[in-house]
Formats: sequence, structure tokens, C-alpha cells
Amino acid sequence: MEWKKILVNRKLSALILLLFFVQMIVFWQDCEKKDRQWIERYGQTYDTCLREQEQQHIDTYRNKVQAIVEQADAMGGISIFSQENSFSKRNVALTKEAFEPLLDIELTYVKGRTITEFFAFRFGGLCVCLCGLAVALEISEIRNQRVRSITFPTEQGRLVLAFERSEALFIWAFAVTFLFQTGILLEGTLLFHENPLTFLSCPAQTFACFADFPLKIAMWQALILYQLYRAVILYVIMVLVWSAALIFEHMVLAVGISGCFIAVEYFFYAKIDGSNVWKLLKYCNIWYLTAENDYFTKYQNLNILEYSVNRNAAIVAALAAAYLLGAGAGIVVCCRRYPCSSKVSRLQRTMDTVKAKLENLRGRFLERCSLPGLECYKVLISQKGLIAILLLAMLICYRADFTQIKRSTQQELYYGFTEHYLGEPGEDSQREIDQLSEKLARVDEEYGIQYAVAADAETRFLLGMWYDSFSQERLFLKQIQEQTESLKSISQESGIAVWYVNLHSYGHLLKSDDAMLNLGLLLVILWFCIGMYIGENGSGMVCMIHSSHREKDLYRIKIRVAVIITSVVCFAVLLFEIISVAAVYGLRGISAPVQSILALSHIRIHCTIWQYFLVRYLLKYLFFSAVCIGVCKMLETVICRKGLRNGTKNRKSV
Amino acid sequence: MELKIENLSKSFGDVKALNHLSFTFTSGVYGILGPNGAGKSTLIHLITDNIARQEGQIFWNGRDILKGNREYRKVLGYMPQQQGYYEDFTAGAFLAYMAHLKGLDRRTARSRSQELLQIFNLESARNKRIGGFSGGMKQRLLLAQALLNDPKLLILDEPTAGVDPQERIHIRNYISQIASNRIVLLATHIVSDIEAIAKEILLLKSGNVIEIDTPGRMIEKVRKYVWHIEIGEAELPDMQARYLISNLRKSEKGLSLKVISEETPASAQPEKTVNLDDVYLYYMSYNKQQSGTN
Repeated sequence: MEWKKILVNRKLSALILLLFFVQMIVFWQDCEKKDRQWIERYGQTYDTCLREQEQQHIDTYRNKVQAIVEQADAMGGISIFSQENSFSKRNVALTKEAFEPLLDIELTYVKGRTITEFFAFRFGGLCVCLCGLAVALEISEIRNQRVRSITFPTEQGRLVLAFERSEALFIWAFAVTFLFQTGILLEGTLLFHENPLTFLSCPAQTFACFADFPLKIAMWQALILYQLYRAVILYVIMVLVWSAALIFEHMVLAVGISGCFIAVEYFFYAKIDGSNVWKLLKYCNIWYLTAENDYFTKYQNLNILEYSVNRNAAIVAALAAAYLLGAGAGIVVCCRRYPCSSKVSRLQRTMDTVKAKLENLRGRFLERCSLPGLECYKVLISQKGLIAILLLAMLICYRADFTQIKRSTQQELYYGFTEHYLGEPGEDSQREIDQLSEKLARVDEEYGIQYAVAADAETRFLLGMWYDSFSQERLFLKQIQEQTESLKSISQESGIAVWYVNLHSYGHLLKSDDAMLNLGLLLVILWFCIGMYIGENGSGMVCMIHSSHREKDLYRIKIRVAVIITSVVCFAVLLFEIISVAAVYGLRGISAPVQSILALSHIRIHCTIWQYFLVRYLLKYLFFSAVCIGVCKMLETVICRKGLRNGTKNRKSV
Repeated sequence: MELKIENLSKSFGDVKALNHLSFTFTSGVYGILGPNGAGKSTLIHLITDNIARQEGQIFWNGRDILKGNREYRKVLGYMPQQQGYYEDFTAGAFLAYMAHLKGLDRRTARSRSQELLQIFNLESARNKRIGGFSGGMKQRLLLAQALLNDPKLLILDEPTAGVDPQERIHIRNYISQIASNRIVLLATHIVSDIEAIAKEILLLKSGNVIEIDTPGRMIEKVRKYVWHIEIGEAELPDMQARYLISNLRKSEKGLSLKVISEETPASAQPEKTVNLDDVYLYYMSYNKQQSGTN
């Protein structure tokens, strides 16, 4: 019965579904972003590159395994590996034992980007973890002590109930893991037009990400094993949170302590690198297990008290210990702790004092707030608008890419040229183009002569290598000549003195209208608007507001507050877009005529680049503001007025 | 100062919630009594303009409330039956919010909030989250918000539900005390609240007014139908089948019953202590109908 409580809890069900769709969207966006970036940076699609990598992996796999086995045999002769029962010796032997059965494996290339992306996608693990935490806190019932005071005195309200709850956690850990992971796999097959039967039936080692995987099983078996593995990890985490919630009997405290625990785990995960002894803390680690997938696909042995142990075995042992600790503590607390305890711990007393002081402060602050201030408080705090902003900020950070892009020689030449000759095409710039053109013509001529007299294939090969070393300059010349021609024709046609500007930078700014970010922004705005009105309906305040004479003023203020919050969020996102482009590419020549960007040469209005982008962003802002006002007006009519059963017809008819 | 209702009707689908009600309220406390679904809340919602009327008019000092709606709402204080709150607000913030809505300036709002929190024993809870309040505290806070603008027309829907007896008496007395220069409409199921302070009582049943009178006169009207009977325990099922029993308690001879009946039961004596509960039971059971006008 306990597991059904989550199903009937509409808020929690909605949260699980929301996170499910969020991870699906993020996965789709991630794949798209990867495709775009590969074309931008390396000039080829990710699929092509992946195919090459996979093919190379298949070609070299047998040799690699052979090398591991042979190396293990050869190492026996080296003195540092010869000491009996030492970590080094055991490590080599264990690795050989694990990989030896893989020698006879036959691999052929299979198209399966879904698998590669599935194991590279980290966000899904965090979503599953969030769902697990929410379910664990709900099942602990710390927010509903009254129910506990009813169940505790019943015949089966202690031990049996505790076991039922731990069983409910088990069911939900598996259900959530399977739902989320299967969703991603199905989405992958749809996105990449792949037949799941082909890649599921082949050996797991077919894919490069499984190069170090030591089990000789098919991919479908590996996937089931992986899902079971993840579900067990989630179950242990849920049991730990459940027991923490029961022990502290305080939502904030339980979440805070869980947060501290995760922070410590993250510290171990991020900082431990060298020593084998401390690697145990790095790999048998909650953060590592929820955020990374390579614990499953990569082979590694750990040094535990000079004894070599496979990392996966160590993880299983650590999880089992954590489970016994969490489940034991949870069940004992469930059976022994009275729901209405007369004892107040010192910690609880301190917390109550701090809480009372904070509440006092908040109460005084709120009383001094004006109506717009109180509306802001309602939407940001009561309706959890701050969480929406936090999620948007997380999305922004997740989407942000401030990494310095590796530039090709062609790009370096182009960036240098546009920076040096920023402005209208002039004699200096033309002279440099001509000089380069002449230089390359001489190279062509020289190549023709030398090739004709080349005596053997090796000379011709070396000659070809020499000729190819100018290919980047040729590409640059072609690009800059095209840009110069286009600028001249625009100048002649429109009479506008257009400039050399870096088309990469502005091109990126034009394309940086990230669909995911826009969707996030839209969702946050809808969250605010809906929160602004749904709260009135849910709290039953509508009739009181309706009977007060400043009702219309209140609705006007609500719209104003929604627009102000929308504006702040919009400007923050737009600023981020500009900064992220400026940080990577720079925005030199922003006061050039907008027609200097070839993609915008059709614009017939005289304006500069910054004026164009200002109008563009203003329109975007106006669109979001209009959506905000429209939604507010609609909700005002639907929720607050219709909610009164035809409440306003009277006033309109008079 | 008067609130006049003329021929007021309201239906929800096929259900007639209020049927051609006419009445004039002047200053004082009016009790509105009736079973669930009698039309009490509908009447209140119509007076507070929270739902649209289908027929009839409501006048405040001779002016239709819909024509002078803003002015009307300035003098209106309303406490709904449903406990409507923003759980994250503190009591002080909630009163400040409602004071803003009622158009009170900051200084008046502050002093009035202070005064009302004191009156309703909520001063210590001023800076506490409403979400942590008991039902009675929430009820008192709702009453306080209704009184913020010192309303001339105070409409209270179940004001003492969930409030402890001491607070209930305190609230009842306070309402009675402030009723001299305003109209107070009080809808409740707790008959004793009305009995003590109401100037007149409207008895509603199925959207119709079945009686309007002062509590005293109503009691006198019903007194002749209230009987006292002493019976043995074995006779109880038979008595329950034949008569409406208002009260039952153990006595030396067996059981002592208070029976409401238009016919005189065998071996019955007239009951000395008749109260509004008996009146309510009599009218609800014998389905007396009145025109609903005064």
C-alpha cells in the first residue's frame, strides 16, 4: 500500500513527470548541440567522427586485449611486480583474469550512437536522484506528523509499516530508474533513426565506450545489468535519506544534512586523484555513482590494505554496508520513536530559537512591505518562484560554453585579419590579400614545375605534403576574398560603407538564440504567472479579494509585478547570451553598419550592429512581456473571476 | 443605514438555491440559520457580490450595490466560511495585505491590526506563519481581517466554527458590542451564538425563508409544542419512531425526554426550558413556510 501513496500524490507524480520530460529535452538538446559544435569546430558531423572512432576501436580491440594479457605475463619477470601478494602483482593478475575471456570475441561495426550518448549523458542520473530524494522524503512522512500519530498506535503501525516503507522505496527506486533510462534509450533510437534490435544483440564491447568492460555479454544484457546497478544505487541513497529524515524528524535539517553529505562526497570525488588508498573514497562515492556512468563501463582495481580488489566489487560492498546502516537505522527509528515525543533535544531547541528569531524578522519585514512587495513575496517564496529562477540559472550554467575554442590556422588568419583591418576595405587590406594571392600563385607554379620533374613516388609524396601545408592559407584567402567581394557589391548597391567584421563572432550571436534557453525562459515566466493566480484560488482568498474595494488595483499590481520579474529574468538571460559570445569570440566592430554581417546585408535600414541587436533583443523582450501579460489576463479571468461562479457578470451588466 | 433585498433569486442548474427573498436589514445582529444547502452561503455570496444574481436587487442605503460597487465594498467586511489564507504569510503580514486591499493607509492599518490582534488574542502570534496556526486561531484572524476597515456591513459566515468555548463567548460578546452602529449578518450552525446576540433570525430551508422573527418570539411560538416525558428504557425505540426527540438523558425512573410534537404525547408535561435548538428542530421538521418578507 505504501508505494501507492506516491501515485496518488499529485504534486510528486507531477514532479517525476516534469523531471522525466526535462531530461528528455536536455538529452535532445545535448545531442543537437554536439552536432552543431562538431560542424563548427571540426568541419564534420559528429556521426562521421563517431563512425571513424568506432571502426578504429573494432580494428584495434583484439590487439588491445592481447596486449593486456601479454603484458601481464611479461610483467611477472620484472622485480617490482614479482613480490608475492603485493598490490602490483595482484592488480596485473586480476586484470589478466578479467580480460582473458575476451580474446575470442568477434566484433563488427554496428551503428549505435544511442548507446554512446546514453552512457555519456550525466544529467539523467541527477534527475533520477532528485526523484528518489523526493520519494524518500514523502514516504518518511516527516511533513505529516499527524498521520504518524494515527498509524503509530495501530497493530501493524511500527515494524510492519517500517518494512512496507522500505519495500515502497525499493519499488520506486526501480520504477524511476527504469522509466527514466528507458525513456532516454527510446528517444535516442528515434533521434538517430537506429534499429534497437541491431545494437542490442551485438556484444557490449562493440562500442568504444565499452572498450574496458570485462564481462562477455550482449548489449541488452549489459543494459539490464546497468539499470539494475543504478536502481540499487538509487535505492541505497533513498534508504539513507529516509533514515536521516526519520532520525532528525525535520525536513530542512534532513535535506541540509543530506546536502552536506553529498558536498563531502563531491569533495572526495573532485579532489582525490593520486594515492590508491584514497581512491576508495573517490570511487565508492555517492556523487560519483550518480553523476558518472563510467564506473560501469570502465575496468579498475583498487588498492585496499595492499590487497587488489575490483572497483565494482568494492562499490557493491560499500553499497551493502550503507544499505544495512540506513535501513537498520530507519526501521529502528520507525519502531521506537514516539511521534509526539515530550523530549526536545538541545539541537531542536536551538533550531526553534533561531527559527523564531528569523520568523520574527520576516514578519516585521513583511508588515512593512507594500502591496507589490507582498505580491513579489507570494510569487517568489510561497509559489516557489525562486526555485524556478534557480532552475533557470542552473540551465544557463549547464548550457554555458566559455571554453576557449581551438582555432584552425585558417581561423587564426581570419581573426587576425579582421582585427587588424577592422573598418572599411581599404588599400592596405587589399594589398595584403593581393600579396597572399601572389604567394599562393607562386606556390602553385612551383608545385607544377617540381611535380613534373619529380623522379620517384617519395619525392612526389613529400611535394604533396609541402603543397598541402598551404591549404589553410588557401581557405583563408578564399573566405576573405568572398567577404571582400560581397562587401564591395553591398557598398555599390546600397551606398553604405560596410566594414570588415568577424563574421564568426556575429554569426554565433545570431545563432545563439538557444531554443532550450528560450523554452526555459518561457516556462519560468509561465510559472510566475500561474503561481500569481493559482495561489489565490488554492488558498480560497478569491472571495475576500473580491469583496474588497481595491480588487482591480490588486490585479493591476499582479500584472506589474509579473512584468517586472519577467523583465529582470529576460535581461539576465540576454546579458548572459551576449557575455557568453563576447567571452569566446569578442565583439569588435560593434559600431559597424549592420550590413557588414553578410547574413544581414538585405536590411535596407541604416543602422549599426549594436542598434540591430538592441532592437532584436528588445523585440524578444517585448514578446515575452506580451506572453506574460496575456497569460496573466487569461488567468485573472479564468481562475479569479470565473472561480466565483459567474462572479463579475453583475458589474458588467450595470 | 439599511440593506434592502428585493425579490432575490438564484439557481444553480435545476437547483433553486434562493427563491424570491425580500427583506430589509437595519443596524443590529441578524442570525441566518438553516441546514446545509438551505441557501445561507448563496445569500451571503449575493450580498457580497461574489456571485451573480439572476433576479431581484440589493440596495445599500437606497442605492443598488452594483451601481455603487466600489463605495459599497468600502463599507463591507466579510469573513468567509472557507479558511482562505496564504500559509507562508505571518498574521501581521496577512492583516497588512488585507488592509492594503481595503485601502487603509499604512499608519491606520498598523494601529488597527495591532488593536484587532489584541482583541482576538493573537498578538503573540503576530510574526508567526499562518500555516502553523490552529483552526481556532485561523478563524479569529479571519474575523480580524473582516473588521479591519471598521465596516458598516459585517458579514460573518460560521465565525465561531472550531473556536474554543471561551474564545467563542469572547467573540460573540465583541460582535454584540460593535453591532449597535452597523449591520451584522451572522450565518452559523451554532444556534446558541445567535440566540444570545441576534436581533432577528432568518430561518432558511431549501432556498425559502420559513421564519423571520426575534429569538424570544420564536421560542414563545414553539413553546407549546415542546414536551417533557419520563419513560422506561424499553419504550425508547417506539418514542423515537413516533416523535422528534430534542434531548435525551438518564433519570431515576429511566429516561427523561424532551419531545417536539404538535400533538400532545401520552403522559407528557409541558417543557419549562425551551431554547433555539428546539425552535430550529421544530421548523426544520414540520416544514413551516413563510412568505419571506417583512
